[in-house]
Amino acid sequence: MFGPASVTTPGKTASAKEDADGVMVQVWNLKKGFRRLGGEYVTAVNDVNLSISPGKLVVLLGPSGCGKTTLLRCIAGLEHPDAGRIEINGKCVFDSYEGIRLAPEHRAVSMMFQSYALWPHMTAYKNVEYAARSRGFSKDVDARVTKALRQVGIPQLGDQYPSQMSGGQQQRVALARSLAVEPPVVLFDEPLSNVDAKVRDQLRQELVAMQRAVRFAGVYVTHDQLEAMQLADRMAVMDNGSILQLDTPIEIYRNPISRYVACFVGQANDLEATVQTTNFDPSELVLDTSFGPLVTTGGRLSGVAAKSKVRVILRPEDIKLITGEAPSGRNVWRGTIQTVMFSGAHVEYRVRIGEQQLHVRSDARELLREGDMVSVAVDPALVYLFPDGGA
Amino acid sequence: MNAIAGVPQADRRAGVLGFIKFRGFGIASGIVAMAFIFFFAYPLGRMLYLAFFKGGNFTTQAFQKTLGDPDLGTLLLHTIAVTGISSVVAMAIATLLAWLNERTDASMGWVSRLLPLVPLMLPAIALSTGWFFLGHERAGLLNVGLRTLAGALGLDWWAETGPFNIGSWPGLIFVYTLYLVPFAYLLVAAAFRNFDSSLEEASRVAGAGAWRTFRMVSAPGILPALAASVFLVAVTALSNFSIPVIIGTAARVDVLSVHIVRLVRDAYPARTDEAVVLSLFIVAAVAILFWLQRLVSSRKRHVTISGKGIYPSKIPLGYWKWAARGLMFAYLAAASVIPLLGLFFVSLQRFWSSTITRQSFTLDVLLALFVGENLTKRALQSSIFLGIVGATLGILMATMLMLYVRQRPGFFARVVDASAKAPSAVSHTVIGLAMVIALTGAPFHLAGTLTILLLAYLVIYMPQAAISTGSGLDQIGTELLEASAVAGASQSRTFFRITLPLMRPALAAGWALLFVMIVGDLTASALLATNANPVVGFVIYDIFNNATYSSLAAIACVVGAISFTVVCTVLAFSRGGTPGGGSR
Repeated sequence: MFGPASVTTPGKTASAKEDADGVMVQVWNLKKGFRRLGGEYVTAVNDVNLSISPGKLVVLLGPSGCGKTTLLRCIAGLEHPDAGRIEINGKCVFDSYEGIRLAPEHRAVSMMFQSYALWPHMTAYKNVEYAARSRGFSKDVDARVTKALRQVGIPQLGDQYPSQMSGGQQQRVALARSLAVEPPVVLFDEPLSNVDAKVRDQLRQELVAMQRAVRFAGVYVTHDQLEAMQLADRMAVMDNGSILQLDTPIEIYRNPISRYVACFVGQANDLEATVQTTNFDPSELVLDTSFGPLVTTGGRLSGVAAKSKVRVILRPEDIKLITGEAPSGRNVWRGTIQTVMFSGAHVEYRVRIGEQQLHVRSDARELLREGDMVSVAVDPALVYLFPDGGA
Repeated sequence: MNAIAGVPQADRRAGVLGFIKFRGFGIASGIVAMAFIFFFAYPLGRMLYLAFFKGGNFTTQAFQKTLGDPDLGTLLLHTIAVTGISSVVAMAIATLLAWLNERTDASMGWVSRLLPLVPLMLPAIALSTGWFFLGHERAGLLNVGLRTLAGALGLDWWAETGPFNIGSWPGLIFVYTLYLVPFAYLLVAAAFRNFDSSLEEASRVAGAGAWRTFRMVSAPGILPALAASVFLVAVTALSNFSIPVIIGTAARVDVLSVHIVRLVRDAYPARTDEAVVLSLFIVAAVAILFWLQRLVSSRKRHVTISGKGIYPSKIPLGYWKWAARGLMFAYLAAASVIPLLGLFFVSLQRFWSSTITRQSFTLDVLLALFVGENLTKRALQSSIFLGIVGATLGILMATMLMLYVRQRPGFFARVVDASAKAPSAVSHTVIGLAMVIALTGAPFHLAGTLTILLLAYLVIYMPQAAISTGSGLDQIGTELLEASAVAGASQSRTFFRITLPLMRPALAAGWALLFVMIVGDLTASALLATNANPVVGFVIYDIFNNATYSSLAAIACVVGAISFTVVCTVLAFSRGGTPGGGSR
């Protein structure tokens, strides 16, 4: 899955260790497979290493079926991995070699579920109280529960049953239930995917504030890349059970390790190209594309053979549209606006250059119309290059 | 971070301890499962072996004797006719009732909830005896009433008999149909409910009228479900014993289930071998019906289950609404209150006759069930005892088995799951017969004990117990249990604080179901009970053959009243249960 060394940045690979102050969750070489009904063997988690510092939130991002939820459930103790070792808060909770397999109730974690998983026969207050008592709290439970409900902004709903609440309110109860025990580690399994967009935004803000205040280490599973980038201290892009890249959101966005990561995080124009040999400057490369020559200085270029096929990734917001007089220079082409989608803060354009269609995002101050002729320009430093084939 | 203090040390002991606890439950469930499979499979195997191996040699003597019986053709023809006709009629009525309740403004929510429960509130045993007393051509209460009324009006169309005669083909079909409608209704109403009404709305919006929509969209949509239901209803009809033994005997219509019991109980010497061969006919018929049902219902693409709880717009019926509601009331009354009243009325008389005077009323017959020392009183006591013990044990076993099946997927778990539900595919008569053959003699010597009845009830009614506890378990999403584990609760805390409270309605309903079916059982009871271990079903079978009708009415009336009370209590209890209950 990883590209050749020539197109990766040294030192940016998924590192198991983090240099920050201590480690709260540590996963070594975790493997988990299962057999489908038809007998086919599927590797859900494939040799994953991960470490999370106290007070930091790591987001696992990937398409459905990439193994992110399985990995989370392995940490919680709800799934039994086939191999590897997991430590939580300095204690080993799973080790296939030593035969250690701690039940979920003996691990120092809390968890939020996609379906909220509130117990329907208990009120909001009882739900939180049950969790507190299950973790062994016996003194000042009432104060603790009341405080937790107040923290999540629903102190008045303590006597309500889950079926009497809206989805957003239910998820707040679930949050209170997770945080009332002041857990060192909180696991989130797509907790916001069932609430509507407005509430989702609001809860996301509150979650970040809460995480700064309580300073738990968090593992957050989502398939929403925007949510991932907004929440994450570090994010892990997963596919086929493996972590492809583990880094800060900005690093992953600006320096994607592979074409797959580039396309999955943010939006991308994914183009075919062939390397030319006619350029003598070693710091740049000229590519043949369907709409003409494209110059790239996007680093890591040594060792790309002439005439070899490559893939080019262009981010829509990195492409500039210039109206009026066509500027001369490299990486400038003439094109026609095909479709316009006004999106409030910005505008999405489809621009046709010859046979190629490009997705361009531009600010909404100056609105172009369908059929307008424009010049399209790309900064050579913002052209990402990946080997052809594979993802 | 004082939460960590509450978390036990992550050492290896905790893991091992948890493992042992889990194992302990698994082992206990495994033993229960093995015992259940043994008492289900062994008698059937033993029965087949003894029928075909005499002194260790294979023989087809039993087959030849059975097939040589000149009455066999009539017997099979009658069985097929009764089962087939009543299943189809019941389906038609049930479809009409379901359509009225699910798609028109004649619908009444409580009727929809109550209708499927009618056979539990009034067991077949009480339904058929009730109608026997109402519709007997000479002394039937309805006939006597109508003749008295006609006499008062100066009409003498019917001198001594009529106008109704329950002891006839139409009478038999009528009672069978009354009994089968709820089973059909349950399936058809579910089909209507699952059929996405937005498909019908789309058709209306596309310009099709109500009739075209019904013909082109609704009907093809639920037809597979209807066809599948016919076969399941036919299996229920084929297995029934109470109706043919009481109404069928009066109508001189012999069907397989009754014939088998008579060969074992009333023939001397008992013609057990022939009974076994005839029971194979039932097994084969049920197998064919299940196969047909699967064939039809495998065309799943027709039934769409909508995710949203949209309420379909109700079709207004105008004045027909009241006629439709009248029809629903008429059915409910005919299947519950009217026969129960008939039973009560007859039980108030010392002798059942066509002349009723004020002097003939007495409470003696009813009171005899509760005071003094007699067979009927003992039968009632042991039936209730068996009902309580059997229902409790059955639900406990079913819960263990279903938890086991869900927690440890694997080959053995699938075997356990299948065998817990298998008895429903084997007629009760066949299981009862197998138990007579295998368990009454050496090495078990269970003849004339309550144990053999308990075993038979547990095996026969395990499918119902397994289905109600299983669906109760399925309603609790696994995430609710996982959330409890992640919140730090131990397995036992999770079981007692989350699983059990959430299952309570399902367990209560399952318990009531089992209790009512055991108390009202006639099939196994007629085969397995004797004067030494009398139960209600045995006494009813026995009294009916001896024609002491007042006692028969009294005991059927009491069984009906008990069932009615238990079912209504559980219904009220489970509805008032958890506020805003139901897991999401």
